[in-house]
Amino acid sequence: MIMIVGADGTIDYVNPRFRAVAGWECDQISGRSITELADKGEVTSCSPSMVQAVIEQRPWSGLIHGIRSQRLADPATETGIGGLDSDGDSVWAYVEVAPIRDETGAITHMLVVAEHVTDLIETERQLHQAQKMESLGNLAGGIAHDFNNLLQPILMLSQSTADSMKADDPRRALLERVVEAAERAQALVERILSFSRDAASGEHRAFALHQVVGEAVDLLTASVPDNVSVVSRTHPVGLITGDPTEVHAVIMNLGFNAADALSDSGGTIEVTLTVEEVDEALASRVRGLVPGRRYARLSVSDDGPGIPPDVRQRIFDPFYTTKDVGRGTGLGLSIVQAVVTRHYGTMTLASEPGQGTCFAIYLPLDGETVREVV
Amino acid sequence: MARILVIDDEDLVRFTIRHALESVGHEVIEAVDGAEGINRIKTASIDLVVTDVLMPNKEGIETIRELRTLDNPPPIIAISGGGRTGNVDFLELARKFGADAVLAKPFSARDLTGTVSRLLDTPCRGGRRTG
Repeated sequence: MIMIVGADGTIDYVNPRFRAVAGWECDQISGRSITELADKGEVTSCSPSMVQAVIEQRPWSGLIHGIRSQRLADPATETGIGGLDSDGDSVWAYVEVAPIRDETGAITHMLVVAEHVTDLIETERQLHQAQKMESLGNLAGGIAHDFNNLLQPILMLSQSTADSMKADDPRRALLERVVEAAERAQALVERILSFSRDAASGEHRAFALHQVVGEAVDLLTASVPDNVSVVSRTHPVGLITGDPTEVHAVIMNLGFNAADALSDSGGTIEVTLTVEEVDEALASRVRGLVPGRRYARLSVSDDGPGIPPDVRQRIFDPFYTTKDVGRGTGLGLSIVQAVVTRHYGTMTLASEPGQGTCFAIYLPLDGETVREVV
Repeated sequence: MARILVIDDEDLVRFTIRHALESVGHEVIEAVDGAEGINRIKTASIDLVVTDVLMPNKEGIETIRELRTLDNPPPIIAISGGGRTGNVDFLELARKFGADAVLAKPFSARDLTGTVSRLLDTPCRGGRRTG
């Protein structure tokens, strides 16, 4: 990607590739001052030093994040030209700035050469995430081992003692509650382990998604505090292939997070389920969607305080939590993400301070095989 | 009734298993790791071994392999709370190395005593091995 800037800072030329990645039209960019781009926020906070280098006519190199895929004249148009940048607003580029001199040695122009490295950065981020998940899997295995050792005497001794009592002994009912709690703890340990397991080992089958969503909404409605209401706008969307228990856990996890966000102010959690026909425009905005395929779109949103940008950056990291000690493990959203990935789906997060938060999950509907192309 | 060697580094687990086995009439000998377990079996007659898989010092897989080299080895039940780390399923591994049965912790007393009975009733396995 090449840009040539005149000695006065005017953009003389931007090659087609550069324009495509940045979402610029030729007639809208040529003749503008490079400082104007920075002023309009078309390049991000890490690039003023690059702009400054161009203005001061000195060499510069560095990584730039966030040249937005918006047309200059129409910022409301979010789709990048050619769909090169699937999330619509995040682009990484490695940029080198160098002066062009005439025969006398005077600088006539500045050459800006940029390499589009969004995919590389994204791949690196995914690799880093995979390494973290592997470490976490091993850690979870260790935790499970210790917990199961502790559960062994609780479960067996309470069960044996209960069995030794007469059927009408009131203490027997109490011990059976202990057994029940131990069995639930055992299931919880298994769930913590499940997200780190290989997808191939999971029991996947076709099931009606709206039924699982309905069950989860019923449970969520019964579980949230009085000042939080749950609204369901779901429709039958057909079958997906996967693990209904895991999908149920995903909905509950997102629902409980939303309820936590609303615990002080109160508010409404909305769960929606629709069919999404993915076109080029949507596929260019949501990474991982395949154009022409049909997906179930499951969203869980709230009208709470929203998630600050710095938290959004780390929200899917294992063990990252903003909750008080003892109120959250920080595993919830990393498990949600792992489950969605195992179902060949993808998810998005939209949140604005004071405007609430919406998690949307896209799961391929049966008959829409995306495994080969994802 | 049988004499059963229980090898586990967790005293609460050993106590629990002892309680379950003694309640149906078995005699229990305990060992805290594989090394002590092997030593016990060489000095006492044992009908069946229940061994943990993940233990300090001599761990379960190595213990199972060594038990299998004995003349007329007793039946072995491998137990583990680890389930799986990464793609390694320890109980599956224990079975491959010679465990006759496996139980994932936490298991019930009924699971344990039922498995013990089944192995002791199996012909050619369960005869008391004299140390």
